[in-house]
Amino acid sequence: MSSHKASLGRSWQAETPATVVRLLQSSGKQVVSPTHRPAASDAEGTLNREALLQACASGDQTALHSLYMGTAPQLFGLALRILRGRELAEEIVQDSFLIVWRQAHAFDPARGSAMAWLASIVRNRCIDVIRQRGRDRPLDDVSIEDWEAPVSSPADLAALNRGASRLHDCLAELEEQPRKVLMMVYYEGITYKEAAGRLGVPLGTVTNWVRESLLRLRDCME
Amino acid sequence: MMNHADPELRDQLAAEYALGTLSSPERRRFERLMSHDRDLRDLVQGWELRLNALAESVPPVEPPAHVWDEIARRIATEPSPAPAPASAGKRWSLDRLWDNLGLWRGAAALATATAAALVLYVALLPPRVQLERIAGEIAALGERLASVARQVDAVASRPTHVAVLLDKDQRPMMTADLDVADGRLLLRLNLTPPRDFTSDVLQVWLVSPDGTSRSLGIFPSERPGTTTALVLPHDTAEALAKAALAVSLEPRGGSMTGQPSGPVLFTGALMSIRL
Repeated sequence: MSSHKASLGRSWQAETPATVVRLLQSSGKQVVSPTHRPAASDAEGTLNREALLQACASGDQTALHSLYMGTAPQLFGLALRILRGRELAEEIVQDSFLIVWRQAHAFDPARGSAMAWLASIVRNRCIDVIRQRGRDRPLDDVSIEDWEAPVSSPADLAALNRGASRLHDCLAELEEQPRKVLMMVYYEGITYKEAAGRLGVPLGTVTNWVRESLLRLRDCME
Repeated sequence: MMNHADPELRDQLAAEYALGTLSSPERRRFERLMSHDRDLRDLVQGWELRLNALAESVPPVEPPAHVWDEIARRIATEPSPAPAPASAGKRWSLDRLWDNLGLWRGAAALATATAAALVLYVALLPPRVQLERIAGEIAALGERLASVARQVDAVASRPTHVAVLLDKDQRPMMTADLDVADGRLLLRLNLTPPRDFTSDVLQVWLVSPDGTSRSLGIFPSERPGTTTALVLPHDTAEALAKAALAVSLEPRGGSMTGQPSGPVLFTGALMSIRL
């Protein structure tokens, strides 16, 4: 798996020649904005992720660093869970923050939380990578009963933000098996076929469970 | 193939794309659909925001320090991100095009570059390519030149303008034929762009001499030999005849700013072939 670095997403950018560096210098653009106040406390940091993204969009590297400090552990945890390999997960997080840096202006706080936006970047990268190159470690077979979502203790759920707790409320309304399969598909980044093989459940059943669950979630979360 | 009109199916596919259950070819296909369909992109984004609240339940794991170091190193070697499109975004993108590629150095320089590009194009064919194929390519080029010569007074459905899009190393990555009369633009990717495409697309832009740029669409593939034909509205075709083409690397679905937001990979000005 040593070829990951060379073939990963945008990593050829690192070799972009002097012309681009020259452009950076000649653009006269201030790289670090003097007006930016780095995120202070943890609680404030969470509230400020949206503002940090907006500061990133104006080229503020310290904002990107603050955002990284506040969100990278969560995103790294997510990538590790999906990819099952540290090296690959590190590269995805790296790659994702470069995308965040380039695309921060496209984030619209009116449409959702910064964390959900960041997570969708990381997950999309993860899924592209495992579809094309596989994981570092294969998935093992598991029964629906034995499969556990990453966190489900009431204490942890209480700490979730509003959007996340709404989602959990809606998930709780689903039947156990469809709910677990939906979460498995999400947290493992697997296809219907992989889920069916892994659980020993017919493909049609898995597909119907997930599709039905998605519809019910959509209606519940409206 | 997807029934574009069925709203339930569209939403189901958007959800499955966001959830990540699609296979790799299905993902690519869906991304191509998304690139032409803003409403579909909105559906996907809605699902991403809904489902990705699940990400907050994952136990956090501290990434090693070198991950940030590498991010900091890489953002230091590339231009600052495009600012919000409402402000200086357009200006920035175009400055970059301008400086990076020297689009408007004059017809003489471009003509020289094009001639060089054609030679390079033949020279750059992989060594395993058989001589007869090279001969075939040269014959085809010759034929095309002859046909151009015969068309001095231009007949409809023959190109009136051509462009060779060069990358930073002056390699002829893409060729373009434009017929202003019927608005037909034929693009052919000649060489593989220098990266793999896990979730990015090639977006084609019209860059006017006054510095404005607009998207002409997403190029469908990164495979050399891929040809795509676009039919442009008459005024766009006329504008393009006096403009340049640029191809940038954009996130799946295309640039979200309406301007090139990723690196510009190759570019070339249109030249009239009615001499």
